[in-house]
Amino acid sequence: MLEAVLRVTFWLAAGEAAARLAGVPLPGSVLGLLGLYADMARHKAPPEPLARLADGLLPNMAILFVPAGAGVIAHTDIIRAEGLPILGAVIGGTLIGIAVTAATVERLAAWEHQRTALPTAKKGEAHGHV
Amino acid sequence: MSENLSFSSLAMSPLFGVGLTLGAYVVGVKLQLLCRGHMLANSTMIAMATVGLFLTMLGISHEAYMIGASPIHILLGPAVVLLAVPLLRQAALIRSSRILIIIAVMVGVASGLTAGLGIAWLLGASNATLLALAPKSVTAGAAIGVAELLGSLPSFTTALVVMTGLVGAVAGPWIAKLSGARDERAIGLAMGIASHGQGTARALRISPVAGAFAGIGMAIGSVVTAGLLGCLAVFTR
Repeated sequence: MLEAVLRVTFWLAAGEAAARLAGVPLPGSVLGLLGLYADMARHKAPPEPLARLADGLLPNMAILFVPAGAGVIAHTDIIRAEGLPILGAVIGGTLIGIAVTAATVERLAAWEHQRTALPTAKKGEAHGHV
Repeated sequence: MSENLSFSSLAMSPLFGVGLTLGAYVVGVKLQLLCRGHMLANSTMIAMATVGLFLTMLGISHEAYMIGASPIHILLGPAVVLLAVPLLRQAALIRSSRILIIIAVMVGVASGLTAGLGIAWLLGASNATLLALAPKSVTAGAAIGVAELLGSLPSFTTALVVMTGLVGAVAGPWIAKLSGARDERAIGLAMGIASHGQGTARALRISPVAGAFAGIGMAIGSVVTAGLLGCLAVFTR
């Protein structure tokens, strides 16, 4: 368990250090994620202590954003000054981004599925005729 | 005077910060249950509003509360790193979907940026606000770095990042389904790319596949966006 905590801390620190060395503001925690993934990739499944840690923390991940989120209240004055463009961009931009991405991937996935499933479908059809 | 002093130190203590956060979250979960899980009764959103309301009522600054709440806030980094676990569990599906993932990131980053900035520009946002809005889909840590490079206020950018995450977490599954997506990879990728960790946390509650694809979408999407905006800021200086 402690070893798993240490391993996560190590990759987080390595990610933060790499992000600072990059000279461009990359997300250190995400680099740490990629590091831990590469580190675990030699296993078929995640090691048990790491899996337990993830299954304990990740289902409650949403609560971790509450302290920072409460800070939005502290900025109501700036947000109010340009409320319409800010809310429009945050709400509209995010929803459009999700809709466009989800629809694109769905089409691609359907096309990919059709392409790989076509031979079996044809086989089934031929079988039906015979 | 000394009474005031001890009160302000209590406001900064983990006992208050962690206690208030956990309490507000429990209120959020209960209220969402009462509303039969309606998406607009999102437990995280209720928790944020409850904490904000409490701080305003008690006259405690967000900075003071944040010191006490740091044990919770600090777990964000490890949680993102631990997303490697659900990702590894879907390694085979991720590998076979790599073209899907690359296209999703390109489409997601481009559409999110143009739609967000386009709407803000049409509605008359100032240049300073446009710059602060640009990194809104990136995880907070990197968004603050980008914000500093672009010369906008870090705490303001954080507020925009959190609002963006909240929109994705609250309405993401709904808008994804409305756009015709049934594939959980599509739903996950879209939510992770547009609304970073908060969207990923929400997608993990849909299914392991949606969660893993949100995680990979967030990871690649935020590196691409942060890198892109960072380079742009460096080269246009």
